Amino acid sequence: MNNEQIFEKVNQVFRVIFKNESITVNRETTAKDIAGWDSITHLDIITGMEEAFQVEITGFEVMNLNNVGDLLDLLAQKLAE
Amino acid sequence: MQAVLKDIFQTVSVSPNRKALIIASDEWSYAALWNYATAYSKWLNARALPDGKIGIYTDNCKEMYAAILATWLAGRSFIPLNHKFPKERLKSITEESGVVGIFCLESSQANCLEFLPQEALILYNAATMLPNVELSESLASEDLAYTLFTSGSTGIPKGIPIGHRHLQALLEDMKERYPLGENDRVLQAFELSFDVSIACIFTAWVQGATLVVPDLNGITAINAFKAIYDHQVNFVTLPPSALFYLRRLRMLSMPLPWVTKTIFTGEALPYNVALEWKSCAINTSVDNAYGPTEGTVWSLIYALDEHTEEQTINGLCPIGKPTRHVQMRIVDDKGEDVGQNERGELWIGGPQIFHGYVNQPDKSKEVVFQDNQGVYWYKTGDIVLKNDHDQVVYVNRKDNQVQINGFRVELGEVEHHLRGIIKSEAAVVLAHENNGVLELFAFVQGKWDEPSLMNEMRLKVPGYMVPRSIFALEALPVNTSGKVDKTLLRSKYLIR
Repeated sequence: MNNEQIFEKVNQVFRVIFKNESITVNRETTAKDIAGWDSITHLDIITGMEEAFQVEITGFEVMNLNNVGDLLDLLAQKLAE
Repeated sequence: MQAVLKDIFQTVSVSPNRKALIIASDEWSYAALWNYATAYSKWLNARALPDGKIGIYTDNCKEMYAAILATWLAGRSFIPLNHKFPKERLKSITEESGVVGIFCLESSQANCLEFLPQEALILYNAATMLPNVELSESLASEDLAYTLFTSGSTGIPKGIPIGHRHLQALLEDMKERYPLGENDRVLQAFELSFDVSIACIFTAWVQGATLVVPDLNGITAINAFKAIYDHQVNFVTLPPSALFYLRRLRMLSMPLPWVTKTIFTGEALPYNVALEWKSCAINTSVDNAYGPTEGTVWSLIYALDEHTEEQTINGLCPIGKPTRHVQMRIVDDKGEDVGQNERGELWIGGPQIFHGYVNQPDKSKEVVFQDNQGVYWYKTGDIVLKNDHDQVVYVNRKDNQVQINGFRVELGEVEHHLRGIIKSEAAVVLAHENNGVLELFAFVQGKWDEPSLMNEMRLKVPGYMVPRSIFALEALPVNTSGKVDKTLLRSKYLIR
């Protein structure tokens, strides 16, 4: 899966979680940018990514995610392993 | 000067270089905190705003913490304006309570202009350019310290004014119960609009300890864990639901041996959650702290011990005994005291109890009264009992109030807004627990599009009040008495 495909799939997960088809995230997107992005939706996002990409993400990895860009990098790294 | 400010100033004078505040990789000494607070208060006075309260927009930066002290130094009180709340709600809060100025970062200016004009905004960067204005002196002890807004069943948030005298009564107990000093690091993982933040901030600062604040965006529990780990925090306050996130993301295998005190609060504490936390924070003692905002953060506290397990009801730990200045009664429907082990409503009284809601005299009369000794009492609406160990145990609520992520939510308020959107009474909201986390689910009658209903709700209520799912049904089922059949809705749609 290349970076573009990862990016598209990540956007799909966000649209499902926020029940909003018009959402498009970018590398700089953070919780401050999307209404309703709280602790429980953050966990939904992580769970959604785990299911969509068939990977396991730990809390220690979540700790270091400051924006969507960090998430994209983490997913790319996990898919390459 | 208020006692709380005097206590802080004591540390500023004796140990100015001691760390007062750590936020991410940024920190302030007590001297820096005080200098900024003084500068902001002078700036506030120089603005010559009309009489009224000062809003503090929750930028969750160092400056925000100095602004709290600044409002008090300037002889004012503050109202937290949670940036995560919808604009409509913040607008109603600022109007309802007479906010005349708002402290904020320059980056939040555009948001705050929705509530007040430019000349009423106090920007931190501008405030550091010191005008030469004297501080106002000697506030009376009755002076208002802050006002917090909580969910109201009629759709209007209730403003709860808390005075310095109330806060002082709480802090006297805190200092005695939790003696802290230079080497203690205290976690503050709550939004300023949630009153537990006040207890964390001032329990630390009046004793010269260091306050550690994690990022409050994303998963707060994870960020709190990171802060505990990175800064070796030893005094931790968390809602029990934090453990759900830590467990789910496999973080509880990391030992935190330096944590010596943990307070669980904001929600009922399941005993197994306390045990799970102790498997990670192996050297901690655990307290369960209970209290409505009306009673100034905490009114009863229970210290878990070897007898806790046998005292649980429905797996929940007791809420213990009243704090130093709180009196308590457990009463039946007629207001008569009930006996040991009998269930009744908890009433709390004493100098921590507020005197009534902002602009809601009728609601205030329902729940607050003064006895013939002049003591204020608050009827909590919580059903409790006193067990054989003389510990109070929480049983359930008298009404439709629930705690979501530590926040008090009136189901009636969520229904009120939902009904306003669909312009019909055919809406019902249920709270349902999944894996130890309580969530809201709504049911509406008619062909409604869930995403657009969710978006409209997000414009009206804070995130924690937006239902996790909204089910649009052809018709809401009714039971034999003609009421919406909540049991059926729960079993058909929510039990997985």
